[in-house]
Amino acid sequence: MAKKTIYYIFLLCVFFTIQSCSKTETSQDKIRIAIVAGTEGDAIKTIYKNYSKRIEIIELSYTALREQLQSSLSTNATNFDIVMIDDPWFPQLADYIAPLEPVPATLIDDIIPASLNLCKNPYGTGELKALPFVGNTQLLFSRSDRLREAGLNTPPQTWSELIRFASKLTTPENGKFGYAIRGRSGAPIVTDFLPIYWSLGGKLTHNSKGTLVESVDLETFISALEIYKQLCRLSPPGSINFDWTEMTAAFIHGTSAMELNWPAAISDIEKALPNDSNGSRWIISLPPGLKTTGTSMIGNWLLAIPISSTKKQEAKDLILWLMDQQKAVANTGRPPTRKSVYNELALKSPYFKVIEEALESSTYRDRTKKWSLIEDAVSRSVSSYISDDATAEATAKKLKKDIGIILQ
Amino acid sequence: MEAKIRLRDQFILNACNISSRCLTFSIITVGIASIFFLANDILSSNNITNFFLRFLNDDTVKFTLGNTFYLWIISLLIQFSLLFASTMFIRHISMAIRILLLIPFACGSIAPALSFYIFFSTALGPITGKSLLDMHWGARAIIATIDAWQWTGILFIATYSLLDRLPQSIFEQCTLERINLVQQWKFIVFPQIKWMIGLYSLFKFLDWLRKIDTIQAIFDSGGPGHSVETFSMYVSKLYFGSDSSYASTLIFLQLAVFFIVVCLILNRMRHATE
Repeated sequence: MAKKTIYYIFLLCVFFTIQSCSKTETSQDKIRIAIVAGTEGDAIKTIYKNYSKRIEIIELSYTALREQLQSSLSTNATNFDIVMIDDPWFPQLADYIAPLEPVPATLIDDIIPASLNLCKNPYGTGELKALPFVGNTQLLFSRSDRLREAGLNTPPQTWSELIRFASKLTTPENGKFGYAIRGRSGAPIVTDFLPIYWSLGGKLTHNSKGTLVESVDLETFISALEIYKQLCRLSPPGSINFDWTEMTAAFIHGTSAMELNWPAAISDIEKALPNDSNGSRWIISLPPGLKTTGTSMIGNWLLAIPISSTKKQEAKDLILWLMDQQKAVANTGRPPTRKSVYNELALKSPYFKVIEEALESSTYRDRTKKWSLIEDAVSRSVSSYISDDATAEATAKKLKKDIGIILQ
Repeated sequence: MEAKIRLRDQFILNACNISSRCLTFSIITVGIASIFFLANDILSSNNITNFFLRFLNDDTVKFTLGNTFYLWIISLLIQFSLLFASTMFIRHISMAIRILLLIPFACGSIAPALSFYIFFSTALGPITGKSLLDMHWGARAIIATIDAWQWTGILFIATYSLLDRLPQSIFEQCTLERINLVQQWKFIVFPQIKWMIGLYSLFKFLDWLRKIDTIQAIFDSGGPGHSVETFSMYVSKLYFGSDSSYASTLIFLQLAVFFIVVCLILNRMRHATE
């Protein structure tokens, strides 16, 4: 009996081994694309079956994709033919990415320059190594119904105006707050804070004779921290740990009246807050600035071909085909990067013009292989400051020192 | 009965030896891998002194090690308090309860962590005022509770396996001689489980040194003021942030320190059980 069982188990193992080998063989004929799980990656999933050649989709979570790309690209493993890259990862991976040129001039001219520049290494001037597929950028979301109730007719244009508006709209006893910060430590708090610092003219690093050096301006950083703390006080309880989901929920429920958010939130907000008799209940605009509207953070998803890919030409053809299909998959969750697509979408939904304008005037994160360490240092400083762990001055000095050490 | 107890003693002694060997072996294996990795980085960059100097001046290392230590202690305190309360009154548990106790462990760590998070979140859960998630100690307490929820069942099962070998007559005799429950626990139960508790604490410290997933799932980079950022989270950020040489240095130092501590403790345990 026992011998028979062992025999069957052995047969089963042989069967699975043969099957897995045959799978590997067939996967060699396909173009393998690593995509991020979520709305940005879904764009490719919805159209890839229409392509003439066979494609294999490898869907990974944000963190898993980053770790997988870093380990497989740096070891020249031939795991993928096309990879989807979040733009701040690009400098770290650029050495392992194949050049993409030549690309048709009609396509290049149609891509928004702020997005196209992200695909070059060094930024804006180097060789083109990717194409931007999803054109995310931050926007200021305002509840126009709550603004109207408070006698405010237009969204704020400057940070001081935003604080004034938010103070007017905050009534904690009714559970109503003027703003919602995205205070969760890590990338969320950094993406929420840096547009304020940038709008005041601040920079974290600058290029000095080809070397990236720290350039935190203490006074500007302290001013930005103070603005952020005021916004934190005008935000709902728990906002110190808010991420995208919590912010959007607070905005939809009317707990918060304004927030900096990504266009992906539009579809949820649009469904939850349809127009009423007074018109639209929400509005998007460019983030506030110092004297006029400011800048937002750009967060595009790029398509690139690893040097190790054995199907570079097929992969390039597929990337160009996907860029041609942008109109078919673009929506607020995955904004396009092509001007022509924006023009067409704006005919139906005028807010696409605002997204395009925000994209054109957006700011990119510092282009260095060590961006994630700088991001962590900024998160540590800002999160500590709003948790009342340190003074603004001590926080700014510590960040200056930390970035200096990181860039050494 | 005596033969049975002797056999169990032998079994526990062997288990202790095997686990200590496994632990030592795993540390040596990871240590060797880490040395190779570090050597590779050092050969390519030639700045080992810089790494060690940087380590000495790195406030984040001290901060994250402190966080790891706090979380380990809080989690153990919760688990040992529950263990103390239960072993005071219950000395034998049925097979069905043992299986039930394994459920939290079988659930993994991410799903319970997210459930705890939603419960305490002001935007997604039932709480409206100030949340525990906003405060340093609150964030630490939540993470430690999630860990305790997952692991206490295992601790209970291990403990009751040891207590099963105590004859019921000892406790009956204690009751007749009016020895109270606390004294019974102190003189009969505790000596029986103390080495297991020591070994468990050591394993849990190893677990905390590698813990990333639960914390990242609900606090991303480490909660308010990075108050729950562990040492391994910091090292992993360094590794994936193009600073793998420094990350290797930190891992190597961690292993060196841990190796010495583990050897000392296990050696002492081995002598005590022999």
